[in-house]
Amino acid sequence: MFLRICMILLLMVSPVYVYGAEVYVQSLKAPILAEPKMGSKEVATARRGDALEILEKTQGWYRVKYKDVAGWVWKLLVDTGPPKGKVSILEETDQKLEEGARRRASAYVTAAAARGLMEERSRLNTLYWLNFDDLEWLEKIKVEDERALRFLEED
Amino acid sequence: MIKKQERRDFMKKLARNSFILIVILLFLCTYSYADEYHYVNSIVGERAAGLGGAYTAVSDDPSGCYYNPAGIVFAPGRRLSISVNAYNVSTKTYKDALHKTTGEGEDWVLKSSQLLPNFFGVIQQLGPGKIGFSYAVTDSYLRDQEQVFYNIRSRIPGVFIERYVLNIDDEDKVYNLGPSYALKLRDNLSTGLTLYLHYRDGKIIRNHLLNLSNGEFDWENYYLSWREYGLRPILGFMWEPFEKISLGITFSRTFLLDSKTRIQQTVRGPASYGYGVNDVDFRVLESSEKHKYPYITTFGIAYFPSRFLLFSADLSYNTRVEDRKAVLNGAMGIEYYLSPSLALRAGGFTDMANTPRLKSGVTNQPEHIDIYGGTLSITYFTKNSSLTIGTVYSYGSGKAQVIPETPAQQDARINSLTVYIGAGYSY
Amino acid sequence: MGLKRFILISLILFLFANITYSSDFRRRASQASEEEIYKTEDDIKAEVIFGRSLSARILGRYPLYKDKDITEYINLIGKGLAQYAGRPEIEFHFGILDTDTINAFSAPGGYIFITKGCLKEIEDEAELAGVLAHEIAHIVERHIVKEINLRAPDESPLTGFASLIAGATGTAEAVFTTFVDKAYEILFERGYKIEDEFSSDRFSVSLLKLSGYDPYGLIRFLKRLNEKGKVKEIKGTHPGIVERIQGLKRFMEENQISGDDKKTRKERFYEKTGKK
Repeated sequence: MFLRICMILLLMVSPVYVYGAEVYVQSLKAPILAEPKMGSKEVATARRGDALEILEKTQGWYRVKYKDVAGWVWKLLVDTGPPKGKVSILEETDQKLEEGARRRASAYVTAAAARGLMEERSRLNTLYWLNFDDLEWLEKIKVEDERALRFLEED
Repeated sequence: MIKKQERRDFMKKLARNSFILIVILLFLCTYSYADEYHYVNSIVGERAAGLGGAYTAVSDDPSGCYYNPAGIVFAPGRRLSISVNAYNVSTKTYKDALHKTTGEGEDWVLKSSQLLPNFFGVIQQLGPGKIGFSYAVTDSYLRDQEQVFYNIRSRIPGVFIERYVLNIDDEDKVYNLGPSYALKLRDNLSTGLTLYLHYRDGKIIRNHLLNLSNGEFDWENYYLSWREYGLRPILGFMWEPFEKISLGITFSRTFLLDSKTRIQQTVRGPASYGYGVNDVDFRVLESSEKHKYPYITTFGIAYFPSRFLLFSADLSYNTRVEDRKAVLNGAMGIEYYLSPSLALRAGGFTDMANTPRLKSGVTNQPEHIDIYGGTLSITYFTKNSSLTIGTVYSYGSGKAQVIPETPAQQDARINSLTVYIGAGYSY
Repeated sequence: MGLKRFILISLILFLFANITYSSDFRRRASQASEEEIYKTEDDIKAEVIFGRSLSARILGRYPLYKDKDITEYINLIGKGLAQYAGRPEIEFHFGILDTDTINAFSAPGGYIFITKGCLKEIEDEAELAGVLAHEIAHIVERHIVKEINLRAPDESPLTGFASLIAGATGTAEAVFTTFVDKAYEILFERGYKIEDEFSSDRFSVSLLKLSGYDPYGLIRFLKRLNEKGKVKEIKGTHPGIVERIQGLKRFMEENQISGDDKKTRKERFYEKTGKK
């Protein structure tokens, strides 16, 4: 009985062990490594969206269980909750992005205002210049993620 | 410059002169400033009030500035502010304080009611620690009543009081206002200091007219006012010796820097006591004597078993001061989250009298009423804010000596109900 | 009896030894944990809106170098790298600033800028990837977002009421512009916290390895800058370059990461940037 109480107390205050918590892979690939070191041997490769069960936590790394294999994954590649789709701040679809810089600028402004986060452009403009024109030029340059990946794999 | 004892003697003399024949409800408060008989008076703070005031080991929000400044360094987020507005109604009843000519007893009831903001506080990161600023009304009452009693016995043989008019306008407020700063000494040990400015402002106005059955009358007007300034430092420590356990301790005392009391009395006594038609006694007394406040130590323990549950318990000790006894009070609270956005809090506390129990056969004893209270509140949370509605109810019973010159004692009861709205905001 | 005492003593020792718990036990169910804040969709939208304003301010100081081909090139590399990092919800954008100073900036929400001067000093694609990866790290680790506590405003009517009673001051606009000023200050004057810089350097190495680049990319670039004495040209917003090089060396040794000369893609870099 006393032993049981001790066990319960120990479990209550023990901070290191996280039972059954899960994280999901956010990056395209997440290598599961033999040791918590970037250069160590890769025992498995998890993909974006895969669920990993946490067994242990240390600085910057999780020891996880992935499909019957246990290993270490870099903390920054995973997160609680499955990976989200791209977050857009415009209510409209991306097609509208082509239709004129001025219109898109005002759409952003409206979206921002609707969220109570208005950039005080008029006020700021008297102190220093806010160059949204160049920013919009940059945002018009569309590069798809898949194309980028292929580009990286070319040699 | 009048000494306290001299003032008391003067009051007694006045009492004897005019009022041996009748009840003196008037001077009940002569010896007492406000609720000098109790130390717990007002439970401030949005979350603390729900927990019965057992907050010394929790204190991780702006109310921590008042309960234990060391705790504010454990508050989440960068900037937090809270504020509480309270409505209080309380009654103090002296049973059978007066006796009618028919022999029945008549109660004397004092009622107080007021609406006031009782706490505001804000804390923010500053350098390695947190800085805070808060304002608390730690004691407050407001009595505004008129009463008329008929056919009351007097002590003059063959004469009774046909009509007794007693109008009361009393108020007293104690404010604490000032900054706090807290620092972590280690990951699980912190210290903090609050430096409050103490300001107290009050008055007692009594207007009293007796019409005696022999055609004579007695009329008195009494105006007692006081104002004091002082400093109240609160030094606190918070220690988290194990996971989920927090211990807190604080030391504080109010030091008065300046105090002014003024008593003005006008008396036109009955003819048989030597008052001619145009005789009016008028006296003014002033005093700068500084009242002494006790040293207060509070000790608290809190247990956080989960994100949904919290238990907290406090003990507070007020030292003996002047003719007031030392007092030990306790409080306990529990906080339970029904969901991440709804929390329920309940608590209980004691508020014991700092006067001795009344002894039989002795005169001039101050009242002794021990009070017990319970608290309940519910809070709704959104991402950055919280809104609380809560209530504090306390009940006390004990004995009083309404006419100090006689050894007669009356049962006394106190009932107090406070309803409050509190809000917290993080930004 | 002896066993019970042993257990009791070891329990006490264990409890006392466990001072490495987090003070997180105080956190109530209504409060988000360290891991949960800044991550709601509204928070991310707030981050992007904020990042645009900060970017517009950066571009007000250094306009864009509007060469579509090179800009597309760095976006291909940058977005490819970003796939291997941990924030799939962010749409990254990479731009070149028209200035000869040597620097790179990142604004929350995925806006990354590298100066023309910096590009001139880079000798191969792995180095470019290293610099971009360092900036991606600041965004993935939310250094500015955390430093200024950037969160979506809480717009429920109850909050408005609560803020009225609780006396919170400051309109959203004033708060917003203060945040932008603060972030600008971090980028151009104060600099990131030193630990954040080292952390981003380490992230860069890891990201290079994950994405198939030569992990020595960043350190090679920093070493060359240091040898050329170009350090003074970097605005004083980073910790000393020597410390960074040493930190990187140590990190790669501890983690047994070695260079891979085959993965520098030097030819493609020269071709795309018109370098000789």
